[in-house]
Amino acid sequence: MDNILEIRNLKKDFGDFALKDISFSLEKGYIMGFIGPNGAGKSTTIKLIMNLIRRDAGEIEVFGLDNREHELTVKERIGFVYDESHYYEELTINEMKRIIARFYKQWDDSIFNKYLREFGLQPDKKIKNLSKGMKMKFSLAAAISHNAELIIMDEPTSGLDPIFRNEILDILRDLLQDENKGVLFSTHITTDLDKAADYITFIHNGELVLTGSKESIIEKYGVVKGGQELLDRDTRKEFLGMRETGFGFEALTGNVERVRKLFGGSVIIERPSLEDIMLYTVRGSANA
Amino acid sequence: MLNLVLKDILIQKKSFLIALIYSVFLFAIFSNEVFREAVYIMGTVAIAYIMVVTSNAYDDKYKSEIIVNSLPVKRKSVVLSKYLAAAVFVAVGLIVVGTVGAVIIIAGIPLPVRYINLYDTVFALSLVALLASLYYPLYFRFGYALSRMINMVLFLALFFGPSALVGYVRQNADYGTAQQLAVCLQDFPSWALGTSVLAAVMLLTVVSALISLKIYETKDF
Repeated sequence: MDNILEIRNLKKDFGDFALKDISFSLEKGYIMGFIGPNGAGKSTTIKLIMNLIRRDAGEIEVFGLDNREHELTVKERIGFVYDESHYYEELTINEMKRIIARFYKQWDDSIFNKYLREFGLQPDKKIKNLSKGMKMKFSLAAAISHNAELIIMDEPTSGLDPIFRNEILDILRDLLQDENKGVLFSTHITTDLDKAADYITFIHNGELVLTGSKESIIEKYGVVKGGQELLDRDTRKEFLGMRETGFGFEALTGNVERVRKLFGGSVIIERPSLEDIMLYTVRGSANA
Repeated sequence: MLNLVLKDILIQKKSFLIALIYSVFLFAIFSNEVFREAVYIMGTVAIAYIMVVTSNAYDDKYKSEIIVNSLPVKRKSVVLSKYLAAAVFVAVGLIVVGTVGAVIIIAGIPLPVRYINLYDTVFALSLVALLASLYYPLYFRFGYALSRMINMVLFLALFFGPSALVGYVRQNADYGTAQQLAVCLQDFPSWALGTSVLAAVMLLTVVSALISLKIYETKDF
C-alpha cells in the first residue's frame, strides 16, 4: 500500500462546528486538491494532521504511521505551508532559516538557497518587509528544503495574484517529478486545481462531499441544462444543486448516466468544472 | 529542546542591548543604602523577566506556536524549553549585571558597588524560579495577554504582600509571639534556611512544570 496519507473516520467537535467522519487518502506521486468553502473544515483537517489540534476520534496515518504515536518521525518528513506566515517577522530570511533548519535532520541549505535565487528573495531582508506573495514563497522554500515527502499547504494561494499562484503551482508540479512525494493542497480557488490536481477531496459543513480522482469526478458529475417544464417534485430530487431562471434551469448531477436515461435528449449535459461542483453542491445543501 | 531555547534567544537580540543599558542605569539609580545590597538580584530578576515576557510576546504576536508545533518537536519539549529558557535568561542577567558591576569597580567609577557573589546568584535564581512557576501555567492555559495581567497582580502581591502581612501581624498579633518567631528564625543557621527555601522553590518548579505539561498536551491551536 503506497498511501502517503490516510485519514479514516476523523472527528472533531468544537461545539459550534464539528468535523464529521472524514475519510480520504492520498497516494505517493500525486497532488490532492482539498476544496470547500470558507469554514468547511479544511484548516481543521490540516491542523489535525499536523497534530496542532487533538482529534476526538478516527485515525490519521502519514507514511503508514500514526501521526501522534510517531509524531517526530512523521513531522520530519512533512513540509508545511499555512495561509499566514506565522514566522518571527523581525528576523531576516536568513535568521529565520537558521532557526528552522536546526530542527530538521535532512535540511539542505543548497536547496534552500536555490529556491531563494529562483524566487528572487534576498536572504538579509526582514520578513516583515516582504510582500504577501514573497512571504508565501519564503514559507514554501522553508517547507521544501528538508526533503519532505508530504507537502501540506493550507490555502497557500489565497490573496495572491494569478501570476504568483501559477508559479507556486509550477513548483509543486516540479516537486512531483519525484514520485515518492505527495501534496495536499487546500484552497477555495478551484481553478488552481483544474490545472494542478490529480485527486480532489471536497468537504462542506464539516462533512465529506466527495473524494476521488479528478477525472472520475468530472466524468461522473455533470451540469444539466434544460427547460422549466422538465422539473417536477420527483425530477428535482435527481439534482445536487440547482439554479433556476425564467426560461429554464441549470443543475448539477452526480450521476450523468441516470440523468441521460431519465431526460434523454431534452437536456444538455456539460462537463462540470470543479467550481461548478462546489457551487451547486453548496447551494443545494443550503436549499435542502 | 536546546534548539527551542536557542530560538527564544535568537528572536530577541534587542533584549541584550536593553539589558546592558538597563544595568548601567541600575547601578546609578539604586546606589543608596536601601537598595545597594539587592542591586544584583533586582537587575538579574528584571532582565530574566523581560526576556521571558519578550519571547512569549513574539510567539503571541505572530502566533508562532503554530510553526513551532508543526516542526518535528514534541509538545513536552516546547513546555520544558520555556522553563529552561528562564534559567538561561537568569544566567544572561547575572553575566550582564555582574560584568557591568565589575567594570564600574575596575574603572574606578565613584559608585558604591561590590562584586556579584554566590548569594546574589542563588537568590536571583530562586526568585525567577518562583515567578516562572507561577507565570508559565497561566501563560500556557490563558495565553499571553491574559496571563500577563494575572501575572502583574501576582507580582504586586509578591512585592507588597510581605510588608502588608508584617503590618497586619504588628497590629493584631501580640508582640511577644512575633518576636519569638523572629528570634527563632535568627537562630536558624542561614545555610539551612537557604537550602530549605531553595528546595521549596525547586519543588514548586517541578509541580508547575507538570501542570504546564498537562495543560499544553491537550491545547488546540
